[in-house]
Amino acid sequence: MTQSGIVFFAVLDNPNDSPENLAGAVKALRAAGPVTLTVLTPRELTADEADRFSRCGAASVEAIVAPSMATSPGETASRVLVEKYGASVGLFATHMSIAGNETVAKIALATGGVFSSAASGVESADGHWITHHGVFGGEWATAWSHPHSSSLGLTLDPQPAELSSDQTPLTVHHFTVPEGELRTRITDSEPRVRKSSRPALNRAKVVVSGGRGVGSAEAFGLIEALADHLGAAVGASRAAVDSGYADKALQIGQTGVTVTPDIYIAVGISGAIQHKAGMQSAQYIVSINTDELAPLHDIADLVIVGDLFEFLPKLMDQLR
Amino acid sequence: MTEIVVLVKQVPDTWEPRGLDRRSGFVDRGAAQPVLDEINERAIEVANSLRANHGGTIYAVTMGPHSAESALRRALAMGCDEAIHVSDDCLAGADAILTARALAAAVATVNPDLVVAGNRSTDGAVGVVPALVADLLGLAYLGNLDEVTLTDTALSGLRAEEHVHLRVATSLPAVVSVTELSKEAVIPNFMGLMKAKKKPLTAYSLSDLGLDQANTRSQLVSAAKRESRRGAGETMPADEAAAARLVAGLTERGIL
Repeated sequence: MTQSGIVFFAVLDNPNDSPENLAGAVKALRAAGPVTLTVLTPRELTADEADRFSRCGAASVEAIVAPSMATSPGETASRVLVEKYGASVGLFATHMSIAGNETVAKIALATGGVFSSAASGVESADGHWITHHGVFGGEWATAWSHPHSSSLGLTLDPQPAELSSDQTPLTVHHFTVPEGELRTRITDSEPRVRKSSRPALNRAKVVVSGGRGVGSAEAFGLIEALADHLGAAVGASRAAVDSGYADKALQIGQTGVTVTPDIYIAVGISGAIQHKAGMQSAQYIVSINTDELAPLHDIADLVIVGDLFEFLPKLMDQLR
Repeated sequence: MTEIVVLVKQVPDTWEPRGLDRRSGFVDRGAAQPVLDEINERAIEVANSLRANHGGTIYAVTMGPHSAESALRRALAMGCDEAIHVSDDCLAGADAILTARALAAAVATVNPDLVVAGNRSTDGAVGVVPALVADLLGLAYLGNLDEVTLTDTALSGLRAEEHVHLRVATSLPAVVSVTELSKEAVIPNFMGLMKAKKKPLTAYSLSDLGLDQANTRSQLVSAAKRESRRGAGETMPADEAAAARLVAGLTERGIL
């Protein structure tokens, strides 16, 4: 039995699921067929929220009010979506995230389908979904086909697009998961503090990144000062994080964040393969290092050989 | 607590070059020296500390080719008591769902109170297999935990999502996945390595576990390596001229 419906599901108040990002997701999926945008929420939507979701360009828009989204979002999301759409939908998608990957994979399993993650685009051709991905920090571009005879659970890289001036009417449904059937619950939450004045690493146009050469957590302040002057995000190599100079959240590389900025300024970073994997698709790479033969220099556009503690003040002088 | 399972995986060494097998689109696992995935060392330490407080037997379970046995012996050296190896030619290039089916079937032979996994592997790095294993076994699931705490039969943890930390709770039996922050990695000592050679290791094929022949449904259509950067870069000593060049580069690109 071939199912051809496409559902993109979002979670209310999830930062990835801004209306602009949802518009971008609908746009990426539209090439494969008409898209239903479904918003999962623990409470009724405000008029303003309903208005914005209705202008994401979807063919139909549904809000599902399920109170247990507040305490057991993962279990609730997969349960609700499989019950409501399992028989009719061929492609379930959401934005890539820890929770998004888990939920979509569970839906794929429950509907006898396949799971694919981190797609940038989708098409439908010859009875197959074709998904496009960048692998290894964009080093490889791959395309996969998945037969329509299996459902497909997919996560997408968020990409924003403009909201439409046209509105698609939004319908509201209510869903209650019986209390005894939920096995996990959230008992507390704390936002992860990020200096909101700096851009998020994975979206930043400019990244200034420090490595083991920086030498100490105090000296990492030099990296932060340069970044702040340029309106940049701050990153770190694994060696710097392991040495305690910077927080794990700043780590760029194979086991950290992948960045795709216009400018990447590496300070005291030798450029191990696992670091390069996280930043090699930057447009303009600058490296400041005492070692002229550092591996990072194989891919750098501008190599500045010398002591960062002498050079950075000179650079800051010229920037002011 | 009677039984704990730790899911482990053998992967290419992170610090060596990776490749992509053009034919299958899968990470070329032949390209570098295979090792026990680092995150598993932390999962094993989580299991060790739970066993220290609550007792139990720890099983290391893996799905992989014959060479994955060395990863299991390493897990045994780090504190696991027994090992289970699912190995079958049909599992080559298995996707997340097929991997989860194979692992779940192996875990079901033990019937544990708790399954501990790393949050994601360094090859593939999707992180959904533990969630799928939980669903296949009908177990509760808490994933991506920076902390895990067990009291009698209640399990709680600190889940790290991109923008928020969540305090979460469930009861046993359950599956958890843990992050790099959960525990320090175990370093096996000489005694551990010696004992590991004698600990029991059981191997299963797919048919031993009552699973059907695998069929891969997703196919790689194309894989193109992007032009790798030529090192056309300019090298300068770190003086005022270099500072000026960098400033000019930033200005040209609209940053200044």
